[in-house]
Amino acid sequence: MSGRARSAGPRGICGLLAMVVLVVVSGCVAPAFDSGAFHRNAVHALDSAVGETRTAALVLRQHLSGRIMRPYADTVVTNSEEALGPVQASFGSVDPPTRADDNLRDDVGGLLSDAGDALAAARIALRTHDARGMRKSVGELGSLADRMEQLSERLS
Amino acid sequence: MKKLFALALGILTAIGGFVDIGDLVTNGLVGSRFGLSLVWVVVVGIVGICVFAEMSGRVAAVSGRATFDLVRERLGPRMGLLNLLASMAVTLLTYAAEIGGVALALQLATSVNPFLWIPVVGAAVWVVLWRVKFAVLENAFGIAGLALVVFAVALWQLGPDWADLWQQASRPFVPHDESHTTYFYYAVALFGAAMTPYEVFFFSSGGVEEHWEAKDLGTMRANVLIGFPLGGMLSVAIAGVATVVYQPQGIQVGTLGQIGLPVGQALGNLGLAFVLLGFFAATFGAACETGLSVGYSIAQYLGWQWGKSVAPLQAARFHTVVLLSSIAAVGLLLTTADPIQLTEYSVVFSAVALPLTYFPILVVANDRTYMGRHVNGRLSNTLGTAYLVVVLVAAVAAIPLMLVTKAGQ
Repeated sequence: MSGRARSAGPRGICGLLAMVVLVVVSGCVAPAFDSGAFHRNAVHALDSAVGETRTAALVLRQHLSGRIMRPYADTVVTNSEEALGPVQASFGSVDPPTRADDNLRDDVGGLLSDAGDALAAARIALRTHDARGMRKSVGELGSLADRMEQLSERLS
Repeated sequence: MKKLFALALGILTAIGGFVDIGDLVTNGLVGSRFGLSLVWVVVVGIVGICVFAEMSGRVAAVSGRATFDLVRERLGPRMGLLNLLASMAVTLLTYAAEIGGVALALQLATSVNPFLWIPVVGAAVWVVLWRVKFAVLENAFGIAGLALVVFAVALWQLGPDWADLWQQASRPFVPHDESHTTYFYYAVALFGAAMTPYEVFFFSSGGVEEHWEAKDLGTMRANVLIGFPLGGMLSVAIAGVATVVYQPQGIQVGTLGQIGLPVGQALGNLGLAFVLLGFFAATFGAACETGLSVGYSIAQYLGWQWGKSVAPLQAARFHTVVLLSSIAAVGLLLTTADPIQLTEYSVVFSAVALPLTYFPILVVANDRTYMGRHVNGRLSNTLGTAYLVVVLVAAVAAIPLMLVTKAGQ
């Protein structure tokens, strides 16, 4: 009885470690096994990017109308830009499963890259008090969000 | 008059102190993705925390000892240790998340990187825990936390379609672009956020710190049964503004800045100032509560002298635990852990630890040796037992749902 109790200790610890590893791994992006999985990854990446670009556009509009103080706006836009990095990285790290998916990879990768550039431009305009640049960024971010949303809807 | 003032102050403090980083993040995120279709979980969670907070407060008032002071004595050292380890792991994680939340709130006000704020916040929390009186600490942050009422004002100012919001809240559904597993994953997270274990550690230990007696039971019940539900309404208002502003645009909330942004849209910079004050007070107050809870639980289990009403020299080990847990929480955050992700994990792991927290409360509150004529009545036992079943289901489902949904992706 006591021997069994003793041997249950290390097993319990191993089980706990395995659970921790599983939980940590659960946050990772699944590799694309087929076109369907690759398309789902693309939709997930596009939807995330739409959220970040629309947030930044919303913040810039509110800041331009004097409703949101600059440190707050700067933080939110910076956070959106930082959040897009892992989205780009995780989508870019998954190879397309077939040649037919190469174009999709290019289209989504291109849009994500454009979104990253637009968010960086928005941040710079905000930090340099460039009202004209901010207005331009609002238009660019809105247009990019629309294009990404359309592609996401086509893939869904 | 003095008694009425104390009652009002207690209720206001309970309202303002109810929301913490877990409620802020989870409600904002859920509102943006699921609208108000998960409000029923907030209601279930609030009733649950009221049931168990009342029990633990009654135990403290009648026996003069905090609930977990009695757990080891009543359930034995093994069960007590299991309870301690599980709840401490979650409370320490929550402590780190709260400190991270304060740093994020300060970043929003200053645009200074939160990793520069984290050590400053950790030190400030420890100094407050060391120097500031318990009543001042509890009342000041609780009252300042009332600034979060601005979310309810903003929701009204945004002019939503109230009929649609009521429809979402009263007839729960899974949005077409979300899966059932993700829906229930966030249901468990919301439940964990509403019933976080530290809330009862702090509530019962605080009762002992404030020398509650059986005659204070009425005030304690008013605090719990009026203050907590009204505090819970703030959580619903946070989800409400996220629903109105973000859901139609397909924006998923993932940062503290996004959570406050709809208030800026509705009320401008004045509204945002209230948001920042509310964020700071809610997270700093909760950081103090979680930091103290770690010290309370360990000291109570080991039978050490504890409490802020005791001279530090006489409760040196208690204060050492508080200091070490503050260092550990700051250290965890300085590994560049994202405070928001830490919060999301902490509320789910809270759900896992819930049975170990709430089962002993039900046992002790049923023991006439400690409770005398204030032992649990039929209503308390029925509700307590029903909630233990819910808590058990949430605890069992939490990790599988986390794995299946890749932590809610």
